[in-house]
Amino acid sequence: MEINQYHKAKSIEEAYQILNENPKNSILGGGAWLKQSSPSVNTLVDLVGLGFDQIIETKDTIEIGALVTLHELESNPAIKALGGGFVSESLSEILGIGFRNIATIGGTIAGRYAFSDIITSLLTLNVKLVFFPKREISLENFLNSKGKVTDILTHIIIQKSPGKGFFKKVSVTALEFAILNIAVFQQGNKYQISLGSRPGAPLLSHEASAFLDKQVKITEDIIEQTAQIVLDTMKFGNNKAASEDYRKTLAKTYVKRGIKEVASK
Amino acid sequence: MKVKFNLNGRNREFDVSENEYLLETLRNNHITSVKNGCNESTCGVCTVLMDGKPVLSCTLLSLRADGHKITTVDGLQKEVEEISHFFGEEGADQCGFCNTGMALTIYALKNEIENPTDDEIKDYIVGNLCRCTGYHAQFKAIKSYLEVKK
Repeated sequence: MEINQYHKAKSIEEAYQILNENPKNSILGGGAWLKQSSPSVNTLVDLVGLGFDQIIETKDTIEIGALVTLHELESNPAIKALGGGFVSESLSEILGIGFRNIATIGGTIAGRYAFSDIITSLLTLNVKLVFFPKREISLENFLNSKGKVTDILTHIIIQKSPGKGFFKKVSVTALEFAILNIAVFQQGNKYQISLGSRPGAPLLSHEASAFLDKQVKITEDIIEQTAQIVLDTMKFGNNKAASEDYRKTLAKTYVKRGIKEVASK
Repeated sequence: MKVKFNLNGRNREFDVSENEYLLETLRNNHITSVKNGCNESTCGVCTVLMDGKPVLSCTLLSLRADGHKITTVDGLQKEVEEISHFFGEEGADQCGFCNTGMALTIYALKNEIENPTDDEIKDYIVGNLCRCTGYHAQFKAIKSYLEVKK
């Protein structure tokens, strides 16, 4: 990516103004994927120093500034406690620590990266995104939206939940992108199942959740049927990392394993 | 553009371009202990410390180093010599190209995690690749270093 100008914003209002002056202007997250991005940027606007690098825990929520790095998030005690640690685990498998000390949660989410491990795990939770000047949207709705983001993502708010989670990244080696990533979260009688790197962006299987939620008992047969619903309702594809059939085989195996794990904890 | 940061204990100012990464800035200014390996965020040989935390200098825009404290092995000679001693004892050195980045990551690990488990050690250094060894000797050297630093 070619950057024509860099501007350290003095305020979020100024950043918003500059972002919308030219469709080729962009907000800088961690900058970790800039080299892999092809379009050039007219003005890259940096939000550093504006206070978006804090994690604030309240009784019911964890409020994360967009510039919090992935390693700061992974090491945070409140994040480690979520769902038995599955969110923290999904962060720990993203390249090495030297990368995770640069990449930010805001940049990851705003980029809607299809291979993202952290988006897959967060999708199973109640997560709200806060944009400047005045917009709040669920993570799922944001991922389903299209086009350039013209507001500025400032915070990610996770509703705390006492449930249990499972996360699995399948990749050829530890430092490669996932061929498929799978997250399952269970709270009470409610289940959420998400799959990313299909190779499309992470998605929730609402059909599988609806089927599981109405079950009185989670049996082997119910788990088998749930995994089949995921395969029947979710789109998988081919790319150079893996074939559609291989992804489906992985999805079936790890969805079943995930449900068993969270249901038996 | 101008960027100012503390490099190995000295306040420095550099002229950089908007597209420049810290690896280029350092190497262009004779800090050649920072190695250029894959240059695409994977191998870890370009690791430096920013405010004590390991970062890939090939991935950090130089402008993002502004106002921070950057440390290379040149600024941690005593500590790095100590780590190198354990690497030597275990036969963990071959070509040495990965050593500077790895030494800085190990130093950061010691400061960040008290009494790390074997898995925590492995997770922490997973982004520092070595193409000569099988990591076993290095792992033993790290364990020995951390043991004496307790």
